Amino acid sequence: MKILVIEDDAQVSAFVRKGLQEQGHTVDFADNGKDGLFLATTEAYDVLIVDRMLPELDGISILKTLRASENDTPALILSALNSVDERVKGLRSGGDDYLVKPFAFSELLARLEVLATRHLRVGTQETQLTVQDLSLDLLSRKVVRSGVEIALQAREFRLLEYLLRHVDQVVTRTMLLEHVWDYHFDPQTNVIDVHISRLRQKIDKEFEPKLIKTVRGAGYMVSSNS
Amino acid sequence: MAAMFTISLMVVMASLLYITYNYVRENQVSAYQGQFERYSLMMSAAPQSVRSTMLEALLTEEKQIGSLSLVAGLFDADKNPTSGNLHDFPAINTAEMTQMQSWEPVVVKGQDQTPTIVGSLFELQDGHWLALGIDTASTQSVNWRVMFASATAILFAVFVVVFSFLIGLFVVSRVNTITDTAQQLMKTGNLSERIPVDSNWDDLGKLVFVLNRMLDKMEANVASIKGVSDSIAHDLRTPLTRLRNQIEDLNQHDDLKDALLNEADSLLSIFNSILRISSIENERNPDQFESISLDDITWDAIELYQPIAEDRGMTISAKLQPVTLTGDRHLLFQSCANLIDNALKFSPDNSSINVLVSSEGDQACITVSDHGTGISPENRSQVLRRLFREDQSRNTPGSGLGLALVAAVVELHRGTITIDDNTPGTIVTLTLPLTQPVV
Repeated sequence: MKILVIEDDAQVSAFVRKGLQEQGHTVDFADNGKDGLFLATTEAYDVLIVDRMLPELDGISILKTLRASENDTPALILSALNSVDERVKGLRSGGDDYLVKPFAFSELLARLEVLATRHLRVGTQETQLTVQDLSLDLLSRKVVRSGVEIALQAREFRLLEYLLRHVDQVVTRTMLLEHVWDYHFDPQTNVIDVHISRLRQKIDKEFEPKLIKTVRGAGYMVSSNS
Repeated sequence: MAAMFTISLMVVMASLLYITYNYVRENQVSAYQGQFERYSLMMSAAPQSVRSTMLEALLTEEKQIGSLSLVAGLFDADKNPTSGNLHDFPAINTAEMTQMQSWEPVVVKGQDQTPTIVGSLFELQDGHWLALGIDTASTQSVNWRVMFASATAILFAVFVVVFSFLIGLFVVSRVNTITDTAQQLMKTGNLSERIPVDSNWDDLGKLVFVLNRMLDKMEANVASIKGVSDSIAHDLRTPLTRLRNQIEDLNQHDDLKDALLNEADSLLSIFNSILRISSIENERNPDQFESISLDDITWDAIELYQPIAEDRGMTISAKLQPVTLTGDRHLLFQSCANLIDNALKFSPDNSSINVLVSSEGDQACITVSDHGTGISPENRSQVLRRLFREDQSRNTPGSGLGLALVAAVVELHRGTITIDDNTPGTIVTLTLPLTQPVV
């Protein structure tokens, strides 16, 4: 992917760039808002990483300008401000995701991948999600694996649906909480893990290969090939 | 109350004046009575030829001494005037003629008017008569003068009392204004407000000034403390995150790496919770409030913890009435989740916990009860504090921040939280108002 990083904190910027480059992505960067906006409008990127507090021009203004000029490159906002209020403000001004500093790199990576591919998938109306021998029918709410119908509870269905929509992408626990449960929530215990293990019981235990994989230190992933 | 005061004051004044008047009068009369009697005795004893001279001398003396008009007359046995300034024999009741009493208006020599006299009549040894009296008009003027003086004194006293009373009222009302403003300030917890200085009374103005300075200091202190704790949390979060990222970078994929990552994550989660609680506490005018369905949120929280409960053979029974209120969806979800998490955590396997949502009047109620280890009565108020763990639960996983966050959320929604015993176990009740004041 071609990624633009607009971040004035040299340490964070270097850290992010190094990590992304190691993952094989191409990274451009700017350390102030004006240069960042200039690059974003003159070059084509798959995804933008925009810091909220920037010299010259702040992140929110950059996004507003881009969206006003019909530039809809997916953008992830980085910020030290964590209130739900600020989140909403950031997302409303044109951001697609919001990550609070300091963050785990794996979280950033997972979210970037999701953002980049979401962009591509806009417009496709799928009624069926299929991975290997598992298929999920969104209309009939039926799940079938190797010809065997599996009964899932509503929440389990949504969980599986999200995992399948992000096949081959790492999905973090926070992402699951935000999208499958729709809450900004800091779990005190490993609640999500238990739900995943439930799901595994139903769709992975009696079958091969095991589709739901644990990505250590990051989250979970459903892979399309073993 | 003011009316009562005024009326009683007037009554007091009136009675004082009346008493003064009568007293003065009585005194005057009795003073003269004594004098007249003595004089009559003297006259009686003196020979006739001397009496006239004596009388004239008396009249002259009296004229010289005071402004009181003395009337005196000597009459022979036929009641004809022999000397003095009385023209006629006074017509009075002879029964008690020696006692001073009113005479009919008499004509006095050398005067145009016919004054009202109060006097006595004495029969002398040889059948002659002596009449002595005083002009009430002049006594009257003395009376008036005395009364005027006392009236002025009384009025002055009244004025002083009323004035002091008014000053008192003025000061008290100003003090009350200051007290009320200060109380209001403490209720809203808004440290940026100040008490308005509208008093013309220097000392009170100074008091307000000092109080406002105190508030300035308090505000600065709180800000700096908040700043310090915020920067501590932030400052520690960053190296901790760096540490976590470095662990992640390690080129190994084993249980050790997993364990290290879990530790780092759990530390970060504690910091995040602390910061979150701080930010909730400092949120004064939340505009993330919207109309939400409390039963839906609670159900979502129950459902989130269902698998964990089932794994341990526990049941979560729920009775949720539909309740709509104004609040923050995410924070209330977090609160329910924390309460359920606690209930599960501190209960034994195969037990049950109970969740209730109801509304009564203008309040909504969430109750989570369990049959677990319970909280001892003396710890019940402490347990809402950050990082508090009871001794008996020190080894249970968790940071001790769960209830602190719930308490902060409840306070933000202007509600209350109570903890009771479920013998055994704990009942936590959150009471929240259905509507929030519009700011």
